[in-house]
Amino acid sequence: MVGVGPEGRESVVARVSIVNFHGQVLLDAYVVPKEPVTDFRTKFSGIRPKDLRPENGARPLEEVIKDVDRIIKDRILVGHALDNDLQALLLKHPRSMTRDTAYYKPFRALSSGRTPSLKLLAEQFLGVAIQTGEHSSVPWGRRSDGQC
Amino acid sequence: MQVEDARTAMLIYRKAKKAWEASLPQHTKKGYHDKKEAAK
Repeated sequence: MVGVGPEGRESVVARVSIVNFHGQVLLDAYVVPKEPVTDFRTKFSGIRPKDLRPENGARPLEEVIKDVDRIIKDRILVGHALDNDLQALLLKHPRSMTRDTAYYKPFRALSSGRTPSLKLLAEQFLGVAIQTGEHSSVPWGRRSDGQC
Repeated sequence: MQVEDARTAMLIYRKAKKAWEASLPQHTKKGYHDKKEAAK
């Protein structure tokens, strides 16, 4: 997500990434913003102005939504705070087919019942620090796509 | 969601999968509806 509007408070989709159960990338697309981006949130999002230009491969939101819809249809969707992502993509997914790490009770217990951050869960369960703005430190056995 | 975040969430899910799936209501489990149909 990147920020639009005054002080960049409103969030819009800028990049959509989907991996399969084995960590292989099924979709990784930058989205062309429909309104001027006022805060790229680069420190957290890793997104730079050039990434969102069509000439650099960024795609229209509608096109990306179609791809996401096709990929997740009839599949178990795993992610963190997926409501936000689905809402931003104007998509719905059956609750029974969703595994959201932000809402799994044993995980919430780590944050005294509140929504745990993905950063906290990564530290607790994987022993790694993420979202540090540095190179990915997520351990993954299969790195055939070279993105890890 | 970036690739790193997507992979992290998947890894966390994989680690907790067994207990997580066991905690789900019956109707969300794989094959539940097929078995129900077959029993009719």
